[in-house]
Amino acid sequence: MQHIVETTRITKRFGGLVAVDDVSVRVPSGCAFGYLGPNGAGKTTLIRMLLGLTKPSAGTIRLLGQPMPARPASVLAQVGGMVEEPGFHGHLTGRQNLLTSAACREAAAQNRIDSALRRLGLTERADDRVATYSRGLRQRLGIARCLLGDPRLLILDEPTNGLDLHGVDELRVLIRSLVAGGRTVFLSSHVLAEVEKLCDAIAIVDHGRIVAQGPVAELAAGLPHTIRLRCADHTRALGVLSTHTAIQSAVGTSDGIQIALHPETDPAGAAADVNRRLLEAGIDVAGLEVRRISLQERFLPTATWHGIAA
Amino acid sequence: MTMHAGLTRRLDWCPDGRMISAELLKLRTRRGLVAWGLVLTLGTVLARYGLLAALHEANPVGFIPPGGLRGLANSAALLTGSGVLLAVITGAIAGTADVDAGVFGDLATTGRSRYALFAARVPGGLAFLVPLLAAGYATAVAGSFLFSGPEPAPTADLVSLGMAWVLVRPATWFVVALGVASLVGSRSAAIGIVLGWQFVVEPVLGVFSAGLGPWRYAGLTAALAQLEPLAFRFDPSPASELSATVAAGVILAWLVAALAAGAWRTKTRDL
Repeated sequence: MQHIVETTRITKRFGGLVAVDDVSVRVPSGCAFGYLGPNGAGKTTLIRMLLGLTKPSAGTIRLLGQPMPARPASVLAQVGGMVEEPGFHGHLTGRQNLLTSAACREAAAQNRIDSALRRLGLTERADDRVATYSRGLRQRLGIARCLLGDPRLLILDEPTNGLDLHGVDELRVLIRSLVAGGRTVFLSSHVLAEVEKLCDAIAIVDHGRIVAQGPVAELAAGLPHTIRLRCADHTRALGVLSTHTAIQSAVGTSDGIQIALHPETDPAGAAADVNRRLLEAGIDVAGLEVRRISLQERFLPTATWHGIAA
Repeated sequence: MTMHAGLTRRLDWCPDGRMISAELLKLRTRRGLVAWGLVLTLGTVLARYGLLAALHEANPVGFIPPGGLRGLANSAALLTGSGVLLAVITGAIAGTADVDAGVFGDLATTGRSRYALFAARVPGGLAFLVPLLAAGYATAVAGSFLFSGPEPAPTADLVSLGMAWVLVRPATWFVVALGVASLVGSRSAAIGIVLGWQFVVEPVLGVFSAGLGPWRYAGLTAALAQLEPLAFRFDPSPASELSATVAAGVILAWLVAALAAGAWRTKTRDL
């Protein structure tokens, strides 16, 4: 399979701090790939290395089949990159900012300014100074800038930062349309739900190391289910359920009982059985909710997300 | 590798016209810089002629006409002084604007050579600076004829030499400021370093020049002073013992050092 991004045992150290630790990522061509992890996991550092902004301490990188950063000009001409919050000259208009960026690309890039602005819904504000833009508008303008080179590969660092829900939806549609057009989108995020909805494949990273990698469908397929139970007597219920063969663990929480099922268990059948046993034991069931545990709960149960321990 | 590819690779440090235009756009859209540019070029010359013409009008015996050859020389001296200040400010802004705005990383990810990103700032900044200086000098020349009275008017040759002097001195300091700003990455620090060197360090070194050996010729201000047209000087003796060739060499060395330092830092900046 052709991999458009390929890193092999890449490491980046800042003094004693290892920001990226022995990371090997394979991104297939023509997909949306999510690089998912909590703040400080080394996502931006990896993206900086991919874009040639900083050199790895060890390991190799290939973009579009070419070594990086050995061949930056020929490779990056086909890549659109946005690192962290995009920067702009505040005294220039949105269009003028794109013009200064297009000037660094091939001549045709200048002809793509209007279409990039239109695609990101910025036409009406294109001739306003960027100093007057909201954070969300700047984020859109940053993505518009990425499109100027008609890139085969887009590398976007936290692209939904600063966008409202409507903006996130629009970006999702845009990214899917880019992928449908044959482009590859590599994006980083710390918002798991967003990545699960948007991406075909993901790598999950924690403390600079990849803890899981693969197609979202494959990773999600093996995830076990849980049952959240609310009933009249939690203590008795835990006793009743302690011998159930489908149950891996059952823990009392402040608002009920959290039941983890064995991965191979049919969740609907197990839920019905739990309900029946409790009723037979004379325990009224007030609520019973079956859900699949998330990728975050499976792979990063103790990581810090949004600054709050999961 | 084909010959064309090899040539392209060798020239990838060279900015094209679009990049230079983009650099000019970044400068000419700064209202504050444009306002200061007008004040420090046209403004100073117009103010000089206006003030001296009014004084001459009020007291023709006590004040000679502000124009003529002497008037042009004085206007040129004023213009090169204020022009250097404008040049240092422009160079410092041009050298740090992309980094300050957080744009440099995005430009670097286009794959364009970082040398080219740096090199584009030189003609881009000069394209901003030179028209302002030229407009100021054109005003000075016009005033020298308009207000010459009985004073001798400048010759065409002297006007041309004066133009070169008025452009070269600020342009040289622009390049130095650009290189220093790109090196240190801070606009205010770059302005402080360049002006401090020009107005503090070089005069102090001048006092101890006897003990500096051949390094006493290394000052940029003294080397540039050699380019001033003789007819513009109050004291027509040479500005220093520097020959024109050595002065040209010193200026060239300063330009090369500033450009090399700025290009090196632009190339190696970790983002």
